[in-house]
Amino acid sequence: MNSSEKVSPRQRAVRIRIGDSAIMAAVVSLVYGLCVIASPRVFPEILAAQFERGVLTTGIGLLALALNLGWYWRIAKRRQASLNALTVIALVVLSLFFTVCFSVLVNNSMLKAVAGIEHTYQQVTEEVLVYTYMALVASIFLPYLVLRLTQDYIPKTD
Amino acid sequence: MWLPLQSFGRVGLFFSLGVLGPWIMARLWARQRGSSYRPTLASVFHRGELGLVSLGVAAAVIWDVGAAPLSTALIYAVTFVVAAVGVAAGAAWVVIHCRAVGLGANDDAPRTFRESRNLAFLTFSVALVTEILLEHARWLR
Repeated sequence: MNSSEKVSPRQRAVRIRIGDSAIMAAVVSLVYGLCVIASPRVFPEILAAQFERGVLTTGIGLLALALNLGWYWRIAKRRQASLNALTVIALVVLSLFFTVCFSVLVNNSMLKAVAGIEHTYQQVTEEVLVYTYMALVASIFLPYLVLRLTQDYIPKTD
Repeated sequence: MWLPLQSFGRVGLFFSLGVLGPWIMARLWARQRGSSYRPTLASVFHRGELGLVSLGVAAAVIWDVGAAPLSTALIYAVTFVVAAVGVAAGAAWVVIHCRAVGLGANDDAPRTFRESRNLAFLTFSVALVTEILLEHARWLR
């Protein structure tokens, strides 16, 4: 390949590294921990109220999606590379997939809890607190992990 | 405001024994022998060893989660996420070791350290917040 055929950094699709999303997931995790420490009673009750209204999972999914797409755009900008459309689509699908997976896995037992079949209200609040945290971290970190493991099979990444 | 001192103590102990301990020992070793070499965190853990420390932290947190007063499905879900984070951190060391020993590759050390540091930061962060949530569950009862 001669020099005129070389791909400029801007045309090169960004390559995901395994530690890319780690910083963002760690910061989100610490902020969540700070919220629990700052208001150990009010914060869990707000989340439990949103869970009972049925908007918590949607909120987690949208937040994770916005953070993941924003972070991917930031990585591409910092490395002076272009965005890969296939990676963007994969990121959207995976972010929502992990949020839904988590909600399906956990919701059944929590709906029983909300109905008061097995647990007290305090236990429900605690379960919602743990569920929200884990769904958030999983929806931010795991899509990047999957992308890192599969990107060698996606064409046009350098 | 509520202070989960037990959680800070547990994760702090892992941080002291796994990260600060080896670094301080390396510095003391160099000073004792009159060497001009001053080990930094990056030089002590430059081959992704922070990933191995993270794997140990993740294993300890999984142990605690197993005894938590949560539903079985949630315990499995938490275990899966913590294990995934820990294994990803451990993989940072595995990859660099296999590339160096198996392929004779001379990898970019700052980049390797950066990767393992980011993943160790995530593992310690997840470990701390998970311990806080478990302590919160006990505190509410």
